[in-house]
This record gives sequence, structure tokens and C-alpha cells, in this order.
Amino acid sequence: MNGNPVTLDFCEHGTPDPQITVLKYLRDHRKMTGTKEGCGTGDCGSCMVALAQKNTEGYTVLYAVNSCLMLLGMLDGKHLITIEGIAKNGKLHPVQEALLHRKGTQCGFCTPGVAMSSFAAYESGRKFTPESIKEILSGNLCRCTGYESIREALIDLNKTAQSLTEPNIELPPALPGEFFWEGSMGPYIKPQTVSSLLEYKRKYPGYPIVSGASDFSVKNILEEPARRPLIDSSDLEELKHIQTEEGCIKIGAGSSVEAFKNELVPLYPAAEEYLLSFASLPVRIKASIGGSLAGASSVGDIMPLLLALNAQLELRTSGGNRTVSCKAFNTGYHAHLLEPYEIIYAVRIPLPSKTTKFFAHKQSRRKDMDISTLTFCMGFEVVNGTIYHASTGFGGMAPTPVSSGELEDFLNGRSFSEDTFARASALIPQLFSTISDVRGSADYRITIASHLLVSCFLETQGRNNDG
Amino acid sequence: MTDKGLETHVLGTTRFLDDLDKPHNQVGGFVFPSPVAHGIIREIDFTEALQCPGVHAILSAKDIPGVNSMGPAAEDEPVLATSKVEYAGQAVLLVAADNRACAKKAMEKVKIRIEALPPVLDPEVAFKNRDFLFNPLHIERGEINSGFDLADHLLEGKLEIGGQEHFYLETQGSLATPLPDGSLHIASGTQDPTANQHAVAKALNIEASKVEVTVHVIGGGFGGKETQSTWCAVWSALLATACQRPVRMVLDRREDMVFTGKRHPAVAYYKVGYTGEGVLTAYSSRFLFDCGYCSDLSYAILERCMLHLDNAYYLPAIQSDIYPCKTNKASNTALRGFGAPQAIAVIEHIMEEVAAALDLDPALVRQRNFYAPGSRNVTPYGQVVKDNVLKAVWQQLLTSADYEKRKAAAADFNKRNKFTKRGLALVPVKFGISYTTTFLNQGAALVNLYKDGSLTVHQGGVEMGQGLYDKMKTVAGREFGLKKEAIRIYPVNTMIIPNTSATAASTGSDLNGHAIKRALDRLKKRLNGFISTTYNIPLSSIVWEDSLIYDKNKPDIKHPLKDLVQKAHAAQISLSEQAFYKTPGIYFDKTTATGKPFYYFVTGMALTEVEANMLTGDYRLLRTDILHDVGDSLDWAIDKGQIAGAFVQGMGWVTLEELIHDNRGNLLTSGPDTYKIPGIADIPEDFRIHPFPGNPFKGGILGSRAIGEPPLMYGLSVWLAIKNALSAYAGRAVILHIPATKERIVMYASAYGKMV
Repeated sequence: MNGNPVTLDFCEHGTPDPQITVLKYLRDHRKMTGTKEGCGTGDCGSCMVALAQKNTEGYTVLYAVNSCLMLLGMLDGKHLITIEGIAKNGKLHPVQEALLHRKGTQCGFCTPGVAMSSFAAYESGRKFTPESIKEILSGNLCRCTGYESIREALIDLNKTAQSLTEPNIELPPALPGEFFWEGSMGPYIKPQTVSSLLEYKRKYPGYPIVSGASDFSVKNILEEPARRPLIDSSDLEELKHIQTEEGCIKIGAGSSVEAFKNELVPLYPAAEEYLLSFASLPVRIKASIGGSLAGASSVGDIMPLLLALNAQLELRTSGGNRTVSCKAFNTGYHAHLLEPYEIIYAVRIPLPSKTTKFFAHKQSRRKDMDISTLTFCMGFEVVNGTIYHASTGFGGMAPTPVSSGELEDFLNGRSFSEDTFARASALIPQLFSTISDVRGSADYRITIASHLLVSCFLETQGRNNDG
Repeated sequence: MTDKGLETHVLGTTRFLDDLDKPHNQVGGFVFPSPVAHGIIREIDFTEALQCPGVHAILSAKDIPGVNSMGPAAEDEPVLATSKVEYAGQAVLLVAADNRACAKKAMEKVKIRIEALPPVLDPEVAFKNRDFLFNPLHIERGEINSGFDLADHLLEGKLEIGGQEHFYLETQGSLATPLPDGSLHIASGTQDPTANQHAVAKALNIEASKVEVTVHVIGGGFGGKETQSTWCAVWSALLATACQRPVRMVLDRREDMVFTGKRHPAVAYYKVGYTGEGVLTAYSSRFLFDCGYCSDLSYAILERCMLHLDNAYYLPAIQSDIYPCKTNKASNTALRGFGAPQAIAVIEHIMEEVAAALDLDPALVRQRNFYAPGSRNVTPYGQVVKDNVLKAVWQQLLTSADYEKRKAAAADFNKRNKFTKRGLALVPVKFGISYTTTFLNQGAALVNLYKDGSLTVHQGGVEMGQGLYDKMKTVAGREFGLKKEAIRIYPVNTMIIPNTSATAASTGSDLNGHAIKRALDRLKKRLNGFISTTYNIPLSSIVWEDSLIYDKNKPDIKHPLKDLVQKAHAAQISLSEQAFYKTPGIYFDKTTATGKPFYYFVTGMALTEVEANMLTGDYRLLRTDILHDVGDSLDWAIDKGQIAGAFVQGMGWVTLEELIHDNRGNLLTSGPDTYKIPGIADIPEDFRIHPFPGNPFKGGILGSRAIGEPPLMYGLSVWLAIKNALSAYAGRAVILHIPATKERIVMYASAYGKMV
């Protein structure tokens, strides 16, 4: 941490439990109060810290992470940098200098978090443009500045920014072998291989697996939740493999949403904006696609995309594999067909052809860091002006993310025209009966879903204005 | 900002309440809230809860040694509920426990039986039941009926206005430490330490002199930590007294959002008469303010609404009634703007509607209605609008923002695009500075000069991000010819500066700055006599500069301040001075709603252009231009930051932020997952903020004007620009209620236009 090795012996009395959040560890156990708690649910970014680790290719990567969402046990072998660690020898870090110079801080409560998100970007050699700044600070809220002075400060940083390929941060060795810590909050297991993970899964079928812990931590914001064991798969490289095979790209279920985005967008550029509005950059870097799918939320943003892409899931147990279509995966509200001892191993996404068209839209109150009101994604082929193989994915329209067979049937074989989409749009109210909740009324959901078929046509036909 | 300026902020070393060293024997303070919005407590039993491990005390209303009331004005706000509960989240019991988990387990063992009554959640219902917290406010001037008779056209309507959560990043909190002599020390995250002090004294039945409240810095306040910060202070003090241990109470985000009040939602019914040129001849309105369950600051908030019905416009005939509706929600409270934003939203909405009805440029209609020298310069409450720069600001902004050209370009864009529409809107502000409760306009300061020439300033203003400490340093430095490094602004302490007014109403710099200036003037005057004899400088030519003293006619010979101070000390001259300031010449008669309630007005204008997609409600803020009159700014970087922050906060209120309760009165938007404040991607892509030059305020501190609240109104320009984009799509003026959420945009667009 901040350049110094930290050793925790979880067998020793008084050592904090590996299941506590990094935020709690810093503030309560280390009395390092520079990292703030603004919400405890990953929404505000006051608790942002930076983390350096090796990526799957063996390079050092540095990124910002919400310390309220990260578990202490996940820090093994990584370098944690907090706001206390970025000024060196009495000299402010350039990010701090810039924020100070532009008065990009008022009350100061969000400032350490803003500084750490910016620090991670700066030290990773990112350019600060109006667009990149939106992404870099997508996980930080400030109520005082109106962000303008922060934006100015970050733009200033381009003057001193270095073009780095790899951040110059030393990494400690990770503990060798497998961990099984019997903590006060329950066993904390960190398997080193998938087969070992599956053995644990068979032995303790009820144990939750956490990878990014972004969802898990939000549900456990109490200081001492009920004692329960967990399996940490965050460093399981095997689950993060990405490869192309037989007309498909196969993405390990442990891959982060950010890694998933980086693979998918070159193939399906229309997914970029959709995935950029998935939570915030710090959450995307931690959250795994497997976690999103296993969470089986009706408004999880990954599944609608996979439905529209006609993706398949490779599931594994210690006994073997099976492959299921995403369309068959969800079985009900927050329910899926995974057996208790089974895991999602990988996602298989078909590669696009020259005739493939794709559309993805996330409707949420705020663009960044918001849960969707609804999502609509659709892939289809257009050959000689006719639509084939339409595949749809809706989130927030039913108890689970769903495809609409009726809609697909309607579109298939019809001409790729404004009229077809207008008629499809008019079908929507008959296809769904949805609910009203805090994120929007049923009417609104139906209306938006109808409108999105129009948007889908406008965007996939590739015209510049919408007239 | 702390005394070290902003540096400790970027280093993360600024200590907010929860960062203070934890006393070894401290326990946590927690609240058991009412699970229902309206009901009678029939039974409550916490004997089993008390047995839970880690629990040190549980208190109910019966355990309050003093008065069970902590409202700032009326006695209608219990510290803890007795028999009645009036909102979901109202404090019923207090728990002292080792930690939150212990407290939570104990709370699960509390046996409570509440006979539920139907909650009133809609101010319209309260209005029908005549359920008001106090008498409605009324203002009237001119002959309203002849005003309507004079009009060529009439316009009537209704505007719904949502509330707003403060969402200061630091939640409410307090650390109460009982001292052996029966007194208490309270470290509080408050904008109003004096209110904390008196509320604690009253609840504990001890003298105020035994309650020392200190405030270091707070992580945002925005009005939310004015009266309602007293809660944690009182609750932690009660628990600390019961346990005889320090009690730290820091609300988590969800508690803070559920327990505490917000900006008042309101419904306004309006009717105006206007000429063919768009000039208003009469204005009448009825506002139903959703006050929540108790008075809190609502009277003053409704009063400020009443005094801002006009915004920047001359209203020859006016009649308005403002009703304080009682609902079973958290008591709504101060939030930047304090009742004025609701009033200003209505008149600005009217300006757009009038312009649309006459097919005139809304900017022109506004200009025609501005206060103007001569016969059109008196407000409905009788105050003359002096130093009026509305027209000049308008002219300059429209030119610098290239208004005519961009308006034409937007119209052209709208012709070419079916579903994407652009809209522009201009919003002026004329905001009254002073507490409308006149006596609150006072400030005090104590300055202590030390033997090395350094200075400590004690004053009553709380630093919450608005840059007050830095501005006070500027005042002290300029007045006393001191280097900034030699000045320390001491954290606010009720034992040093007594009976402070809250740091609110945009008055912090004015009231405290004037008090500091006076104290330093006196100290300087005393020392000038000594300087004159000691250094042989004529009184009239003494210069204080950069911690040096010299004769302006002999600038080569400079005496260090340190030398002077040491000599003065040896000569037995007091190096300490106290002073008091009250805002001069203001008065207000609440019975007739007339007087001169404001020391001065702050004016400025904003112009915003948006591009909105009617299919999805997504919109971009293409550009915002703001021209704002701060007089001679004490620090333009601070003021610019205040303007940007206020704009974005105001924009959040009228666009993204929405408070939603279920039909049982539970706040559903009780966390940042569902309640969305603007993020960095939501601000204008091109954001230009400039000071209106050359208009210092002679009665202000060093020629400056207040900054805090007025620029919040600029956020309204985003709402009205969206309204105009929507109207361009619908081909008619669309009434867009606040907030203009994507849902509203889409639903209106689909109702008004044929989508497919």
C-alpha cells in the first residue's frame, strides 16, 4: 500500500476479516481517513482508490476502484494507492496541483475520490479530452463545483502528461497457492484454478462466488453481515480468457465488463455507447460479465445484449460442460438454470457478417452510473433489402431479460424499411405487459420500447440526420 | 476549505466530522425510525432490545430531561415521537451501541405497535382539508381586476414543481462528548452551531453556556445542515449524557435521505394578463407548498417565495396566496434559493407561455417586462430596485452568446430534423440579499493579533465549500495589510462568537466580512496612534501593507508589523478586538408584506441551448452562457465555481432529480442508486461563465456582492430550453412540469406528436 508492503495474517487475532471492504479497512483499521464514505454503494466515488496489478497479458495496469465495493481479500498481490500516497516528498502530484490551481475542489469531500480517478488515468498515460474525462470521472459525484473546474483541471494535465505504455508501479508477489481463510465472517476461499473452484462449488454448493464484488458489496453494506462463506474468483486468470473460435468469440465469464466491451465494440460498434453507460468505468473494470448474468436481474445490461447477439453460455461443473442458449438461461425473476454446483465458464458470441446490423440502447434517468429503466438490443441481417435472423433482447420489460419471438417473427422476411419498423413499433404494446416502478411507469416503458424500434431503423440505415 | 486553503482537500487531510480522532470510549449513536408515515404508537417495548450485546442505552421520548421539541420556530417538531408518528423515518428511539450491526440487531428486537392512519402525501389534499402548518401568506398590490381588464390577453395554468434532495457528499453527523463539569462538547456538521447549542441545551435542560459547539468544515450544506443538523447534535447529546461516554452519530446515506427534509415541492396555479406586446398587466397565483409534517423553516421559505414572485419583472398588479400544506413526509427545509426558485420557475414559465402565445421572442418579452428606472422600479413589497443592470446584462449576454444567429440556426436545424430538436432559453435572476427575518442579519468577529504579527480571526461563518474562509482571509489581509499566510481563520466555536446566525441566505461573506473589517478597523485605529508616536509617522500617512508599516511619504523606511506588535504589547496596548455588524437600513412588516427586506439585489442571466431526442428523451446541453454581477469579486475563481456549482445543482433539480414516494409515504428514491444528481457527463458541453464588469457595490464588503444562491436559478434555463425543443416538435407550447425527466419529455412528445 502506497509503496510499502503490508502483510495481513488472517489467522491472527484482531486481524480484520478478508470479507470486509477495503474502505472499512482503510478508515477503521488503518485510520487512513483520506478515503471518504459518501454512500457505501459505489454510486458516489468519494471512496475511490487506485489499484495496480498484472493484467492477463502480464502488463502492469492501474485503475481506479470504489473501495466500498472491494473486499480486503482481493488485494493480495496488488498495489493499493490511496489519496495519502500520491503526493511525494512534500510535493503534490500533478493531479492534485491541477485541482488546486483550478479550484476543482470546494467542500473537499469528494475531492480525494476525484483525485484518485484522475490519478489512475494520468499514471496510465490517458489523454484528457472532454470525452475521456466523462468516462474517467463517470464514477464520481460532486455536488459543489458543477464539475467545470474539475474538467478544466484535467484538461490542464495534458501539458504535463507522459505517454506511458505501462504505469511504473511496483507489484508485490501474490501469495502462492490456494487460500482458505477461516475468517470471523466465514471462510474466504480463493482457488487458483477453475477445477479447484468447481471442487469447492461441489463441496459447498451454496457458497456465492464473487469476482468484482460490485453487486455483492452493495447488498452487504452493514459492518458485520451475517456470517457466510464466499469464493473469490477475482484473480482466476483462466476465467478471463478471450479467444476466437469457429465463427465465434469466446469470452471467459470472469472477464470484466470493460474487457468485454473492448472485445465486442470492434465487432459491433453499435454496442459502444450502450456499454459505456454500463455503471461507471471503475465498476466496469471490476464487475464480471458472469456476475452480471448470474445475478439474473431483470435490468442487468449484459443479458439483453447477449440475447440480441444470439450468444451461448458455456456452463461447467466438476463433472463436465454444457452449452445453453442465452435465451434459455433465465427461468424467472432473479432465477436461472444454473445448478448449485455449476458455474458460467464462458460466453460465445457469433461474429458479425457483412450483412449484420446491430442496435443497442439503454434507457436510464442519467446516462452514467444508473440502472436501466429498460434496454433494447437487436441484431439482424439485411440481404437484398430483406430482414433475416432478427434477434432481440429487452431488459426491464419483464421479470427477466427477454427476447420477443413474436417481434422477431414479424420482422423476419419483411423489407428493411421505415414502414416495417413503424409497424413493428406499433406491435410493442401487445407484446409486453410491464410494471411501474421508481425507474419509470409501465406506459413509459412501453412507449420507449415502441420508439426504440424507430430509433433502431434510423440508426441502422446509417443516415446522418433523422429526417 | 480549511485554514490551509484548498491544499488539505486535495491531499485528503481535511478532517470532516467522521475523520476526527475517535475517543477510545466512544460508542455509536443510531436512530430507530418510524416504519409508517402516519399513526399512533399504541405500544413500544425495547426491554429485549436493551439486552442485545453491544447495546449501551436506548432512549425514548420519556427519557428526554428537557423539552421534547427541537423546531427552530414553532414547537411542532419533537426530538423523539411520543404518541404520534407523522412521517416514515421520524425518530422514535435512540440507540447507543458499539456499532451499526449491534444497533441493527437490537432494533430488530424492538416491539412496536402502531395504529396506522391514512397518510396525506399530496399538498392538494392538504389544501382541500385546510391542513396548514401556519396561516397562509398573502401579498397584494395594485388593482388586480383592473390589471386584468387592461390586458389584451389572459393566460391561466398550473405548474407542478418537484422537490430536491440536498445530496451534500458528507452526510449529517455529530460527536457529543460529556465533560465532567456537566457541560458538553459537540463537534457538529452544521451550518448553524448556535441552533445546535440551544437545541441541545433545551432538550437536556441545561444552560446554553454549558454547550460548546464547534464546526471544523462541512462537506457541503446547501441549507440542509441549517436547522436539521440540530437533530444529530441533540440525539448524540442525549445518548452521550445517558451513557456518559462520547457518542458519534453519523447517518448513512439512506438514513440521511429518508430522515431529513428537502426542497419543498410545490404546485402553482397562475393567471396573468398581458398586452399585445407581451407586457404583464396583472399577475395572480396560488402556491401550495408541500411542507412535510412540521414547520421547520417553512414560514421563512414561503416568505422568500412571496418576495420573488416577480423575479426580474415589474408587476403592476399582483395578488398571491402561498399555502403551507401539511403532509406526512419529512419536514421540508432550506435548500439553496429557499423558496425563491419555485416562485421564479413560475414567472419564467409564464414568460415563455406569453411569448409563445404572441409568437414573440421570449428574450424580448422578458426584456419588455424587466424592472426599469422611472415608474417601473418598485417591487410588489414596496422596495425600490436600485442599481438596476438588467437591461445592460441582457444586451451584453445576447451579444456575447450570439443569440440571434444561434436562434435562427436552431430553427433551421429543427426544420431539417424530425425527431431531434433544439431549444434555447434565457433566464434572468434578480435575487434579494438579506435574511427576510431582519434581526438575523447580524455578524460578529473577534480578532487576536499575536506578538509575532500573526492574526487569528474568529467569526461565525461556517466553511462548507463556498470559499468563505478564503474570502475572510482576503478581507482581513486587505484591511490590515497582512500577508495571507499570517492569518488564521479559526473554526467556528459558540464559546468564542456567541449567538451567530446560520451561514445561510448567501449572507456569509457580507455579515462576517463586515464584522471582521470593523474589528480590524478598530484595532488599527488604536495602533495607529501608537505607530504615530513610536515611528513618528503622521496619522494621515500611515500605510499597512504586506505585514509592514510605513509612511506613505517615506516608502523606503518600512517597519515590520512584528516589531510594532511587540512594542505595542510592551506598552500595554490590547491586541485584541471584537466587533459587531448589522445590515443597515432594512426592515420588513410581515403583516402587510411591505418594506425594504433586502439590502440589495444580485442580478445576472443565463442562456442555454439544448438538443433533445424526442424518441428517447436524451438530450445534450450544447452550450450555456452566464453573465453574473458580483460587483468587485472578492475572488473570481471562487465565485465562478459557485456559479457553475449552483447552475448544475439548479439544473439537477429541474431535470434529473425526482423524489418519489409510494402510496404509504415511504421515500422510494432514498439512495444514489435511484436519486440521480448530475454527473460530469451532464454539464454543458460548452460552459462560459463571465462576471458582469464595472458595477461594484458600495455597501458591500470591498465592493462585492453575495454569490451563493442566485446562480441556482440559471439551471431553470435548461428546463425551459428543453420545453422549447419539445414545443418545436409538438408545434405548440408544451407545458413541461418540473422536473423535466426523460420520462416526461418522451411522454409529452408522444402525446403531442405522431411518432411513427
